[in-house]
Amino acid sequence: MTPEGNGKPNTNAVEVRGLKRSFGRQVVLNGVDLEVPAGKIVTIVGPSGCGKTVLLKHLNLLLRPDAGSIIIDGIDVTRMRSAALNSVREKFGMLFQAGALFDSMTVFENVAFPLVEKTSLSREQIRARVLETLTAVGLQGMDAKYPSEMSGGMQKRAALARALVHRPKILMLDEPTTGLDPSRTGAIHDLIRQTQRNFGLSAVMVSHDVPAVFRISDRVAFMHRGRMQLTGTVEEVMASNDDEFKRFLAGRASGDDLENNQVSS
Amino acid sequence: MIERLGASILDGIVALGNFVLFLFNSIAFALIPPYKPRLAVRQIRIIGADSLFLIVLIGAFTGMVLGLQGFTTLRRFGSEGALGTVVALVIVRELGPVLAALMIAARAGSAMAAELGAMQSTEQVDALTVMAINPVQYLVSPRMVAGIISFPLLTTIFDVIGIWGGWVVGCGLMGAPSGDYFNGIAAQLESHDIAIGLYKALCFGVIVMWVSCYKGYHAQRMATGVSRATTEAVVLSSVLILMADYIVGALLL
Amino acid sequence: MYASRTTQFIVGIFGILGILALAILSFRLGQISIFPPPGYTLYASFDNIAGLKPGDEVEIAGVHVGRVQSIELKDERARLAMRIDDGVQIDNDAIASILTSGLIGSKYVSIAPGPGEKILANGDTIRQTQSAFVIENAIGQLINNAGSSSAGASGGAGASSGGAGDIGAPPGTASAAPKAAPCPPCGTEKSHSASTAKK
Repeated sequence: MTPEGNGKPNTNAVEVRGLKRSFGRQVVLNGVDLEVPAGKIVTIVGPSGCGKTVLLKHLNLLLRPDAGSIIIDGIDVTRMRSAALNSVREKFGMLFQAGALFDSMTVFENVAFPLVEKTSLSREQIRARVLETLTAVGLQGMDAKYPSEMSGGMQKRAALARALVHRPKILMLDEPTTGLDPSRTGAIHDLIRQTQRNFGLSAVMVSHDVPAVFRISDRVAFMHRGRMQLTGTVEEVMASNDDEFKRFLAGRASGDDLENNQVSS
Repeated sequence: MIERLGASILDGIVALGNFVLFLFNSIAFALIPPYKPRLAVRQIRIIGADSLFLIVLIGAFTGMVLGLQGFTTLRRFGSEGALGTVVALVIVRELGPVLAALMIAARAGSAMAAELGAMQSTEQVDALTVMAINPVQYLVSPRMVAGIISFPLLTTIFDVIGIWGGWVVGCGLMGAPSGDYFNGIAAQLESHDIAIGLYKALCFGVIVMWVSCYKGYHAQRMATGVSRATTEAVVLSSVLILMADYIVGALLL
Repeated sequence: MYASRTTQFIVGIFGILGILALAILSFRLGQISIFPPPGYTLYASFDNIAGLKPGDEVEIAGVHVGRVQSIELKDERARLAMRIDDGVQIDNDAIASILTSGLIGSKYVSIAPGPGEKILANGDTIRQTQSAFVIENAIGQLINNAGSSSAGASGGAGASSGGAGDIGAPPGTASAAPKAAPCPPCGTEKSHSASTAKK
């Protein structure tokens, strides 16, 4: 589906309304609202355990919400049957926190994987597309290497290439710069911005790399205790005098945050 | 207190249901397209071909032990001539399938649980899902198919090597009559016995793949989670193999 | 991409080895035949076959000449079909007996050629038989009679006589005898005396 094909006035790539989800007795998402306008990068920031990763896993449909609605590219996916979700998933490119490259495959095979599995392109077409994408992320000549033979930054680039190779409409990034040194972080951020512009993508990014990440964000959403405490453009958010956000920026978590249990998966 | 007990019983039933559903899914997804024959071939190499040396080694020594002990026991009854029958029936009906399955569980099952556990903890499984690929169909079903193919083949190889090992020791070293050894096998080893051995191998193949993949797939997302999954996969596989051995043996006799 | 040529080759070899092993196990070791084995079929009826099974051996003078093909119950007697190798000639006065190799070893059929002039052909029946020696019955009788017995018996067609005293022979000789000379005063008839005495 092309972006024009929608023909809807709604220009949000992703829209979330009143999303709720709890694990056992622990409420992780407590009525989250989020809008990702088409062609923009929205960055979700917040202290560890605030539910950022869980929110992202709802957006990429790994988890189903208890309540609320998720609208992706104009399609309400909240009540969709699992089998039907796959057509929606093909609009996604997802960059996982640790890259999640398949370590039994070379970089080339990893990047070619979505095309081999999900398209009917010929070998030559796939090869051309993969090499083109690898060049776009600055990994030319690395296609025969295995993920274990590359540095963390290169793995991130390869993973980004895999997320982009099937020309997704929506890019989702889970802490793309975790574990990288500041110079690499900057390089990856630039790469994300550049590819987002080149491919005309909408992007949702989860990061705790503040304030570096604001440089490439169009909008910022500050998440705290399972809800959106603050949303707006980078300027608006930076100008706000919300106490929690100030404390978060200053690198001091409040006592409540420390007591908040870490939520994994 | 009672509430907690009830909750834990409920959790147990849910977990068991999940476990059984996992088996159904892994078999069902092997039967519906897209088929992944190449993935299955790769798994057959890992589960089957790469275990070959181990199976030959274990098979030979099992047969040799049976030849030695069988001979010394049968000699007390003056029935050394029955050595071949004893060795062949014991190996084909019992020890072949069971020992081969235990060895593959320890070798390939543990590796599989560790691999899937690591894939789970590094979000590779999630990556498959997000790429609209069913991870059970992609990761588990080929292994199930490979197990179903590999186990009977490995078991038969184990059987043949074991019978030969029993002959080497029983007849070569201990002096049991060689003609009686093979005549006894020819007379007593029936297609029914071989079929029982193959049924068992098939069941054990499903069990080992099922348990190993389940444990790996549902490993906790941390290093200790992977190691625990590996241990549990081997222990649970072994227990289920022996339980199934009794059940299949009693049903088919 | 997921299975290299090497892998495919190795898996191919593995498959061939496995199927080869199955063939060896079934046809070479187990001698299971899909087609009826060459040779001809003879029948023989016994009062008691005591655990003889299809696939057991048929011997003449200790030499393998065929196998038991099937066993069925006919007129309250066990009727064996035996597949005899081509070229082995058995006359119409031959005696078929069921013997045990060793004390608890496997059962086999031994055929002792007789003076008959007609050679049996496919589908014929060996009329003279001696049933199996059933050790439990013999032991039971030994205890009951405490060594002195005159259980004259008459088997279906087998020559009879032989006191229970013979049973007391040590296992070694008992096992050696039938293999070497599968005829008269071997254990076979005694099963009859034993079983009739018990009734």
